[in-house]
Amino acid sequence: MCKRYLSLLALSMLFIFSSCSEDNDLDIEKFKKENAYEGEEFEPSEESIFNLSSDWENQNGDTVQLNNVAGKPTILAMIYTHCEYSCPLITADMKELHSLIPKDRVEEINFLIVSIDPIHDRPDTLSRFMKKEKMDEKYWTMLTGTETNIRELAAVLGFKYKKSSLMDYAHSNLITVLNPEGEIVEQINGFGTDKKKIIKKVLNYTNED
Amino acid sequence: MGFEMCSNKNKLSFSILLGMITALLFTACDGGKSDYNPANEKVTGESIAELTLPPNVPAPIDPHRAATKLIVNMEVLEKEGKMTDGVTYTYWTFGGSVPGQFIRVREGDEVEFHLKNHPDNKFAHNIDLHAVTGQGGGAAASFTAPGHETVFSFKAINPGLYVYHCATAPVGMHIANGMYGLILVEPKGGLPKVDREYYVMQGDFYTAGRNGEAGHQPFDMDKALAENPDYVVFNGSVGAIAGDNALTAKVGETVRLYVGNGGPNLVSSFHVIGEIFDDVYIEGGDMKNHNVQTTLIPAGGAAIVDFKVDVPGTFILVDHSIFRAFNKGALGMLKVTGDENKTIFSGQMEDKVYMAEGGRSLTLPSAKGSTEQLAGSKAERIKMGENVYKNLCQACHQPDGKGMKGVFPPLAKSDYFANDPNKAISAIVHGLSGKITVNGEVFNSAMPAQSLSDEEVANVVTFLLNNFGNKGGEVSPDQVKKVRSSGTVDKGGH
Amino acid sequence: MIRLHYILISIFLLVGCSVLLSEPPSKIEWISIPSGEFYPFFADTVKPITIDGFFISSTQITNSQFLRFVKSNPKWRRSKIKTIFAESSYLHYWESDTTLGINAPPNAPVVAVSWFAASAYCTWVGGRLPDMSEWEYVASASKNKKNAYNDESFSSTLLRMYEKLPKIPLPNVGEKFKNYYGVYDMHGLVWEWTRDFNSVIVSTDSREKTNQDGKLFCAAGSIGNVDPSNYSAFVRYSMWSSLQAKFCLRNLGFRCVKDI
Repeated sequence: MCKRYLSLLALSMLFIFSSCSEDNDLDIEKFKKENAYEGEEFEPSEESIFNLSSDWENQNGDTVQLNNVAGKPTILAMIYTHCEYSCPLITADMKELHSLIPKDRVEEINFLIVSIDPIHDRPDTLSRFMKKEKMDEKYWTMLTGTETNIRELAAVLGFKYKKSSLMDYAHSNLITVLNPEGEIVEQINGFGTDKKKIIKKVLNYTNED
Repeated sequence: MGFEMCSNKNKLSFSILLGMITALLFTACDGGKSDYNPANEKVTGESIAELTLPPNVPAPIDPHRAATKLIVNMEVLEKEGKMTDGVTYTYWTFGGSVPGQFIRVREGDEVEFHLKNHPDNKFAHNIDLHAVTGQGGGAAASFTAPGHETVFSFKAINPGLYVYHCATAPVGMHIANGMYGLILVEPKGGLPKVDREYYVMQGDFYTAGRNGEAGHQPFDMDKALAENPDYVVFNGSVGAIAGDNALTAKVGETVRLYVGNGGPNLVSSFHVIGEIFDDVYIEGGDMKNHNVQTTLIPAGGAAIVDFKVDVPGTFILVDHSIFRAFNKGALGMLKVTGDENKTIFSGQMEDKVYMAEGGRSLTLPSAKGSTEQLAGSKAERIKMGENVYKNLCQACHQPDGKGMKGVFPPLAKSDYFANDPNKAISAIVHGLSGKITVNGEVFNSAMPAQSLSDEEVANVVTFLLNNFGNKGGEVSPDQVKKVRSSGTVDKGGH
Repeated sequence: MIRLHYILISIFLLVGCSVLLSEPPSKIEWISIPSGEFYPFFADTVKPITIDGFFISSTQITNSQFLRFVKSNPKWRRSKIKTIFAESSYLHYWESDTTLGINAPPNAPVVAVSWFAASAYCTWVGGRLPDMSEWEYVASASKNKKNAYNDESFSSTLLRMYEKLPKIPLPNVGEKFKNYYGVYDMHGLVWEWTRDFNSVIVSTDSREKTNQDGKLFCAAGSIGNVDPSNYSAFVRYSMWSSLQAKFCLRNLGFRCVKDI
């Protein structure tokens, strides 16, 4: 007799609680992963882009996170490799910036290029691109990710882009400078800025470490 | 004799001197003005710019002040306001007013412009100042979401009076809702001093309902496209600078109006009724015109008008496309108090009766002349006279000839002309005014002279004599001619 | 003895039901939007694009719905959230981290949330933010017509709805404008986030032709053909182009979609 009532009680409580939580599928792990939130070992600062802990693939197919470039200032741009319009100009700007670093300090700055075309820019495409552009892996990294991750990173950087056809994108021309903590310290919109000045500024961040 | 006679040494000195004098002439005689370039002037110090609500402007800048850095804090506020009695409108404002707050700087100044978009606003806004030399007049740099503030800086390198306005899409709608104002960039040394300065800005408004339709009126895009406004007003609403809100001045003062036109569509024909502009800074620039009645102010443009007020009165500011002034609200007032000056304007001196010489139409020499039909007999004369009476005299003296008591004397059994028909003739050809007594009653009116030929007068008087109980008789055209030339028979008493 | 047990069970059931009834409706009602063709405001071709069918929430996400989210996800509470993900005006109207207060009625749309917070919420409920094309597709419906964008009266009605100054506190969702699909408040309540709001490639000076500034933007197509008479779209696109992902505006909320 007792048992029957207990089970009834248990059933009714189950009924109540299940009705109360009306939302579907609260999968904590899935949610954590997709919302790029936890970094148990490494707690990024308030303004750091390393708060995005999403997974990316680099030019070698390795799975990395953005905090991979932590510890050194980073110059970062978002392009796509088969762009024939202004991306080559952005790439040229990045390479020029790299060339302006004094030879003895060339290891102190990261150069990071993230592709906005996850379909065509797979790791092997990125690898070929880097070889063509003579980008040494010691200083340069290229990343490709998912549509969601790309949109999220673009949102953080204030980078605008839109797919205009099957192959092409319209996008802003933006180069971002991050400090070693991953915080945005400078943004260059458009071309033709004083690059020497920028390098000088970036090198200052290396002394903070 | 001459230059060749001088020694070589002297020739050289002479040439050098000549060269120096020429150089001096070229550089010194332009008064040193061409050396000044506001774009190169260095600034000293920093302060917060004083902004004012219309119709007031900040005080003139000290002419000796060096170029400085000014911080302008401009807040965009979307708010409901009164367009006219019973009608409200949602205004989008710079600084809470339409037009927006007045900015006053000097050429050479550096302006740090802070545009703040109130967090309760619904729309993103920006600003284009026509005084800015640079991309979009600052619009691109100042695009601001609600609850945010953007900052950009510019140097005022051209003096003049400039419009500023919002340039966010749809641009026409933002301007139509009141997002415009004026920025004055004073030339170095300032403008000539005046006693009073005021800020007036015209704008056209487009509402869903027609002019005066009560209630809250939303903006109407179709009317704006058709350039068919319901309200054309100064300073954002009907009567904003009229009645109790009128601008004021005293007799003898010089008044300066900084007048802008925010549009969005209409050009203004700006005029002050009863005043003439002594100086007009055409389109807010350097060129001055004088003695101007009405000046054109383009949409998105401005003008400065200076004038001295010499007599008291209420001087009405209008857009002289006059239906806008009297039917849509483009009307403002400048009330001037002080002593009268009768020589310049006397006001009304008298009002008296005006009696036209010759009926309702001009007394022109009769064109009839020889083609006129002549009466063959007395009976005919009476018949033709009857027609004249019916067409001309009956209206006042009535069909029965009894006239109207106290107004029109009777012709029936009239003792006035009973013994002297010439009196009747005279009344007709010369008119008759003043006191007369007819059949024991006093009349004191004015009968205008009638434009009739001698024949016609003879006819109608003969008709009178033989009707309405009068004794009878006949009058000839010659008789009429005689009376005509000899003047009024009975002048009457005045 | 038996009667006592019956009484106990009844009490439990009653308590449970009252708990359910006192909570404002927090279950999202998903409305099915069938696939169709659509001419987006910024058209790169003369042909329309195809929108695949999807589900959209019938109303904007409410304060009470968002409250349940932050209760289970402390990282998204006002005092905990990182500044890179939301600026200081985050959840401005709420009284505290987990209480709404009088300025945030439970059934009013949640506002002053950043794009990151809105995205996280939609992921939490198994969906995502709508793309601009999806949002515009649903928004083009008037009360009775599926695609009313070319109707002049619709465009002027929308402009008037936009112009109305907002009431504070905001009114409830689901009570005013209901369109052909049965979706509420696509216009007239608050602006809404979209997943790709940062794909509006326009100069911040709206008078410049889009993409003519080759320095600022790489134009790989003719993105810039717009319908100049679609004023309500101009207003919305202006608003979206002024945003950054961390912004928290008092007149900006969101709703979610789910793929089929």
